[in-house]
Amino acid sequence: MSRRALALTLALGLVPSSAAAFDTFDSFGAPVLGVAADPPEDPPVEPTHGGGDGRYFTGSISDGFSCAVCHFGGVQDVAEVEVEITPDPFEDGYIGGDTYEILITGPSSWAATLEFVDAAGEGVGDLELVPVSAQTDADRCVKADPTDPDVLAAHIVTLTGPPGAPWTNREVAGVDACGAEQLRATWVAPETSAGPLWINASVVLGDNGLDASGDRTVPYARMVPPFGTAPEGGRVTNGCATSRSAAFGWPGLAFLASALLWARRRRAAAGNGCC
Amino acid sequence: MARFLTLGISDPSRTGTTRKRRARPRVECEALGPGSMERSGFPPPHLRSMFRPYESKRPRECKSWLGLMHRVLPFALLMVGCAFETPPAGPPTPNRATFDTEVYPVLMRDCGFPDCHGNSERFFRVYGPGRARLDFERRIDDPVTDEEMAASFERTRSMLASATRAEDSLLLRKPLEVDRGGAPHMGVDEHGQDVYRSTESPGYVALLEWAQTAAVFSSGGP
Repeated sequence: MSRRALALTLALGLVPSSAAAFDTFDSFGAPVLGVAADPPEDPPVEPTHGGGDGRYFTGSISDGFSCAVCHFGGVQDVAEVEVEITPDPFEDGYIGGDTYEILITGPSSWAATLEFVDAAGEGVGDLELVPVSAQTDADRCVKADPTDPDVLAAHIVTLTGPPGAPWTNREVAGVDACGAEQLRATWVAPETSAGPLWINASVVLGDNGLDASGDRTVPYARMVPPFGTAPEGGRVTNGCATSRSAAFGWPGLAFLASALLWARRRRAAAGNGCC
Repeated sequence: MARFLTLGISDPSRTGTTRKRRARPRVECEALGPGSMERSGFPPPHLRSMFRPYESKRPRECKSWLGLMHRVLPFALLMVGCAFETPPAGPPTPNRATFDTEVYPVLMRDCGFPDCHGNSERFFRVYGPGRARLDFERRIDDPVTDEEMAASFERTRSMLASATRAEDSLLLRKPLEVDRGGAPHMGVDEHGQDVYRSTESPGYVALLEWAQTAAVFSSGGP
């Protein structure tokens, strides 16, 4: 397989800045009513920053929603988000046990989530962040105090499916909206073919407001075929109910064309004084 | 002869044919006039205020005595009915404490996103930290207020109205997959999946058990 990189550029965004709401990755795992201080503070303080209660919005079929379920209204402008996977697994398919490097770059402040799942939403392969020792300034948060050691922007979490969920395990990586410029991770493909897989990422570019409006979202979803199989087209979706438009599709177009043809013939027949 | 003319039928002896009375455009009358958007269901409720100024007036030819009866009769019957029956007390009232501890977190997790039911343009709304706030002056991550909890409770129980069983209410049917008995829901995800894939989903069960604490449901219906 050629060791080439695939760079997909999604031109969008605005002058980037942090997004409110889930601006830290751990917000997705926090209780919906907020994070209580641990250990408890004295005097006790109210929990703040309501979380996702374990829902990580990557846009994968496991959960379904992307960042767009909360963030909306952003204006398209000049900033870019790139997703790069080396080697390119999309043309020839993934090879069991091989390691792939993933690089998502964004503007100076953004937030993102990332995961690999199979067609049923089950996490596949082994997703890991680049070791701390190999991280650069672009991987780290921009801190007011440079001596502050807590500068890691990327995180990863292993999830166990709740009762009734169609999946049992997933690994989700993400980057905080703290000034980091990139998210780097490695993904080791499963040893045995798991069929077509999906890489899902969801990116939000905020407007530095106090709410989720005015934020631009970038959903990214692309199928990774097993080795030796023909690749299929990627897909990029957005919004709360994009599937409704997809339901129209070719059958809908065919029906519309038939209706127009029928109407035209009927008009022509009426014009000829027929019947 | 005069009687024939008042009924709109011409004299057969003069024309040799019988002219039928012109049919009123019933379909158009149904589709026009104030409230037509509600009757037709289009555009969606959250967009109707935008189109309200353009809503057409009811055409004059639609204002027949039959139409008048059509409008007045239900009110007359309602007034007669009110004389014999106690008006309903409003939507069902399930347990408030259970809502605060068991249901509100579920609604926050599964429904209250700012682009979904955290949006003030939706009839059913849920307010809280990390999502939409009732008071715009509050920070998005401030703790939930009593007012937000109360407003969320009222909006939620209103979704139980007009159902004889909790399972048939909009609160339970909307988030459930259609092939499992649910109702069409704009909030399906990007893969076309509804919030709850089955009636065994923990969130669905929490909502159902709470709804059934309302007396009107636990007693077997109104």
